[in-house]
Amino acid sequence: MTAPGATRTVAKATGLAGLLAVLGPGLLAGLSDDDPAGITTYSVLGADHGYRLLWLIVVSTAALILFHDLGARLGVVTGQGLIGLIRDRYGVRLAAAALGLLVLANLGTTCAEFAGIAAGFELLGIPRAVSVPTAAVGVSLLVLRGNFHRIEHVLMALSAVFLTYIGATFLSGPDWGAAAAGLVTPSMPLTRDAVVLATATVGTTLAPWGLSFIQSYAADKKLTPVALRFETVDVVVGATLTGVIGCFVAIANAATLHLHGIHIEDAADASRALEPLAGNLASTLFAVGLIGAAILAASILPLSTAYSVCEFVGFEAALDDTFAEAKVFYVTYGLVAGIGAAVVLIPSVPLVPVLVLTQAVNAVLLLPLLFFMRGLAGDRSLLGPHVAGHRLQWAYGITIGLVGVCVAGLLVLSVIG
Amino acid sequence: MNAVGPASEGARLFAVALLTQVLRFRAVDSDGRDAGRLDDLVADIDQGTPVVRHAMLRSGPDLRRADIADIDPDREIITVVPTGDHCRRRDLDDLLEPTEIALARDVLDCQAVDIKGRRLARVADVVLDLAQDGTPAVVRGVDIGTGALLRRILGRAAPHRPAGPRDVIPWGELHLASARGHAAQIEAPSSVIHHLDDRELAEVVARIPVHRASDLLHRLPLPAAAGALHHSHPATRERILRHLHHDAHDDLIAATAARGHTVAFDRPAPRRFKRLRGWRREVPEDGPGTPVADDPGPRR
Repeated sequence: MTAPGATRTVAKATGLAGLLAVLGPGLLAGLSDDDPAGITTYSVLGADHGYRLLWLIVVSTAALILFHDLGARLGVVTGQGLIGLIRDRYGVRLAAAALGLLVLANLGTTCAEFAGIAAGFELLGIPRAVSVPTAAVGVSLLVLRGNFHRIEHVLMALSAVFLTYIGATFLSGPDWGAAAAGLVTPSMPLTRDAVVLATATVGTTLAPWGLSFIQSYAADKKLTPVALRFETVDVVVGATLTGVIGCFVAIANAATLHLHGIHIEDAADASRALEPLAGNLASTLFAVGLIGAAILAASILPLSTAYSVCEFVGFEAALDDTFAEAKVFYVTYGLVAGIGAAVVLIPSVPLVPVLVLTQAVNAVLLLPLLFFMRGLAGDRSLLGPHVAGHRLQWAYGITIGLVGVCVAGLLVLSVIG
Repeated sequence: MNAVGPASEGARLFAVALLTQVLRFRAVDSDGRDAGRLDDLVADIDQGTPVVRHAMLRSGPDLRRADIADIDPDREIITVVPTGDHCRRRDLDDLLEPTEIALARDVLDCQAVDIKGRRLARVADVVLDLAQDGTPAVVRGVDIGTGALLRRILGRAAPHRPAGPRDVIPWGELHLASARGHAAQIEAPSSVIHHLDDRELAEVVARIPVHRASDLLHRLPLPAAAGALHHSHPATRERILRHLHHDAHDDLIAATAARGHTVAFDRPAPRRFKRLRGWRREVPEDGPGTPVADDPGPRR
């Protein structure tokens, strides 16, 4: 046993090991934001506007760092997830409303992830009737049968698939000077499409399910406040990688599709369109990235939902529990994954209205969640010495204001037509 | 009010009421005039059973403290005598004694450990005994059932669902996981946390955040704390010991070492203790009365 005075020395000596041990919540929550909806948004951003709107991704990434860091801090210090804390601090009815919207939005987003899996595999010649059920069963088995150790490592390994986007971008031969200028020079065409795209970029990066996931994950990883400095690094790395990958996707599309005036509707379109312009390898890398991103998000979304439901009703739930010990948790996970896959497979279900409704619910839910989080951040009785100071509160407020402007703009434009 | 019902205990008559119902009562002063909107009830847990002697009233952005003179469940009126003390909502702790808790803020909707039931639960309502002989109301326990939860969300539209046998947890079997509730229970020598055996204490520390568990243990008598760690799951024990080491609570570490549980603090924590053991409830594996192996190992 060492003397108390040695604590600081040991902490320094174990800094890298400590960081490696803590890594996870920020990486997974960040990277899973680069799901098919995100890849589609970044692809359209690059294809329609070239390098001009890249700065939007930088701003979104900054917002992501701020609120994922807050989510992780709330989870670590209080040991509770976001929906649980909302019930704790804002009452059961607001929490029930937030949970209802979150479950609805997560169901729709899970449909989008399975649609991404279907589209990605179809690019490789595998029909959705095979790929979607296989993926749904695969992610469910991973969670039902695996322990935390295995699940986290599989998800982290899956995240490595995002490297394919970097490869695809280099193969597309971008104008790096123009890309750098686009990153640091804010400019905004005042058109409906550009405002919708700006809102979509913020909305796809800062997603309600990501906020609830990172807090639950950090809480359930049983990190202590001592590890908060490492957790901040984890969040910054995860969010920055998310932004970097988003930028690479947009740059790849700007360098190819935008130059040739090609408009795309989704990420699969982008992959198909890349083939004649950047080669078969770039197109394949793009498709593989899409599949990996979709599977990662399709694993995490039901998890985020299951944790939120259990936190709300107060049931204990753990990935290492058996089905008998955590029925609500596993049934919720299975239902969300199953419904998401079924909607994509049933031909008569109109997928596009489902996805549009999902985006609307996500937008409606995001603002109150951010308000709740800002309120929790300033609650000294909850966070003690980890309460947010004035500067951070201002930063949260400005971010919420920007998101509010985007959502309001989108609503006005939607009403106008 | 249909959920408030009369009951008796010996010769003493009282009504059973739920906190969320009482919070809707009209607060009046001794002359019967409106005294403001009732915001919270304050219970002192110093004597074991929490006694509700004070209320917090809303006054614009501030809260005002008031003494409770009477609670009349039939007329749904609570008679109060304002004390003159007031504060901003965020500074409520400044108006509370160390062993006082605000029931709506620190208990309702908060997590609590059901010690006998060996589970973590979220409080759907607080069950109060409103004495009709002039003595203050007391907290009987908490309702964690789905029926109470639905009633609060849906109001009268909620389906009638009587509380099940596991839905109401007596106060004496409860440890609050909220920051204030946890601190107040530690502060009050008569609260349940000070009267648990080692195994029950191990059940509690397995279910609260590590920093709260280590805070709790270092404030308990050394033998009790060391006993709880002895009966804890090895992963829980190591995690707490490492946190105690960080906070330099060497006496407890030494007492635990005397029971054969040591940790090599000069080496980094194995990765599994920081990274791979999340989402796992490392509760003691033995049932009550079962001899405990020193190192039962992980469950899977």
